[in-house]
Amino acid sequence: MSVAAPPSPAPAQPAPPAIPGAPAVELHGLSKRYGRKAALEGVELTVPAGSIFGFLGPNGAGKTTTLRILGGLARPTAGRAVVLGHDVQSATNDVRRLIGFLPDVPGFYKWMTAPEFLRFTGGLFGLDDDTLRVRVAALLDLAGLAGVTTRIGAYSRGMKQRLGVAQALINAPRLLLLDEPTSALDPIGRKEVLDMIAALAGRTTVFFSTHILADVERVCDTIAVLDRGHVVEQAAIDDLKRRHGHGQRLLLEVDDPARLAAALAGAPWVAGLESDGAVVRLTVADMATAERALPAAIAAAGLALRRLEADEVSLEEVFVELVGRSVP
Amino acid sequence: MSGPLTTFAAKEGRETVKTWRLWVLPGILLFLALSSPVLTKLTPEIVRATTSSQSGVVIDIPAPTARDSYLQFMGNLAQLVTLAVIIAGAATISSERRAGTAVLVLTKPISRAAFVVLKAGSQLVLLVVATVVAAALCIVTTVLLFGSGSIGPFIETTALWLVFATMVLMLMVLLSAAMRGQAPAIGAGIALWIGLLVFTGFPLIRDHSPAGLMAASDAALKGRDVALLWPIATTVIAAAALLAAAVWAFGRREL
Repeated sequence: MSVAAPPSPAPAQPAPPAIPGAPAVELHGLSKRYGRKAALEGVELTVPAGSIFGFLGPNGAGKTTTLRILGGLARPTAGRAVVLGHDVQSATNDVRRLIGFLPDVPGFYKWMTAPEFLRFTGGLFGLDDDTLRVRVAALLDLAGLAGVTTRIGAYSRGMKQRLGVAQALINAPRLLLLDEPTSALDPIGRKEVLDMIAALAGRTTVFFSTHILADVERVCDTIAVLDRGHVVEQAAIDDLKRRHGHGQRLLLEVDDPARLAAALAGAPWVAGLESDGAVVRLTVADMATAERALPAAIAAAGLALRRLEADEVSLEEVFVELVGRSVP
Repeated sequence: MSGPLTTFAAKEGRETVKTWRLWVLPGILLFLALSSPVLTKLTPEIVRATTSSQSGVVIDIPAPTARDSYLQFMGNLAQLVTLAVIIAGAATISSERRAGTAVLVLTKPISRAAFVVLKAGSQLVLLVVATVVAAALCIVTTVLLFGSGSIGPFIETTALWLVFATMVLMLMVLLSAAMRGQAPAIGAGIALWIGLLVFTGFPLIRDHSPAGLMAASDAALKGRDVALLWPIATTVIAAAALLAAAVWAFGRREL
């Protein structure tokens, strides 16, 4: 699968205009109940246009329910979902022209081939034959399915997932809604899909639900964390790490870690210190002071410095802290 | 350029040709169209063969006629084919929901109402075409085996059955849209069909409801006069109402 450029937004049957300046997605007090069980409770969320937005949460947090509401497949019990300025409930058809949608387990007509299925989905958007020919060829190439003549019924799960991403791009959508797009893929397939999502940056807003934190760190610029039907955090990834890092950390390797610990004991800029063999993990309360004082303290203790680098807090640590439980 | 409605309708047509759909209802209809006249023709021989070993038993069977052949086919339509319509119709919407294809289609610019109407329409076209072809085949086979007979009443009764089967199909589209799976829809469909059969025993209800069409086919072929206006009118209205109810039920359903 080669990562070709996704189709440019020039549909034959024009999509309704996005409201200028409108965020890609706005959720206002969005709630959804199934009987007594609350899947979503008063969710407030804004997804800026043009972002690659990671929608994180443990299993059962309400990610798929949110995406189903955005795709017009389910109705909220309360609140509103707005896509590019259009209310999903009252302007469902306008919203559908603007979005591409991939469910967690996409279903296909097994008797069709991939080109037939892409032509079919393009036809549902009213694309003309010339546009269809160009887009189908580009998307088959993108999905690594060019030249595959077997029917979809014989495809592997990975092939189906790649075809699912391709069909979601057939209308050159302004907003791409992807529910766990990489969960069924092998490492190579995952990389290819993530590269393709990254290539959409700046052209299409991607709203991407997942519980695979490495995928989010790799392609997303902004994330929201959903837990038990509530958005517990929304921020740019770097901001989030900074805010949840509780100070910043440095990794040091010295010839005598015990002596370094003794030398730094009581220093006001040191928030914590752990050592694991020759490696010392130092949490600092004030990085500017640490940058000046640390080399002097090492020299004063007569220690040999072998390594000094910033140790960034991981998204996994932030996630665990936010949802208060282990990573799924 | 093709719009969403023509694209989906074309998909339905291709799906009919490329999947099991082509073989179930049309297959049964064509088999019965050929077998009914042949079985009618051979019935005296079969009865004679089974009773020949029993000494003293004499069964006198009149020579079968073209009308017997048509009656045999109509009996099969009223029972076996109606059951096949119930089973095939129960998958109309639920099969797309179960396979996950409804989700991919309905996040594109096609309304749920159009989805239901086009799926019901494609099933109806298949039913009508298969019935017309089967009826023609039955006529040809009957003429070959029995010589020419009165074709008019047979065509009339086949048309009456088609009106009734259309209502049954729309009932199954509604059940398929409203219920979770195909099996519960089949069960409900059979229960309602039997309920309608019971109504044929009550003349007042029968003569003013779709139950009248169930009784009419046999009577028309035997040359008896039957009241058709109310049964036809109520069946057509019921079919339209059932389709509208299917659109409403599927529109409310979450996918």
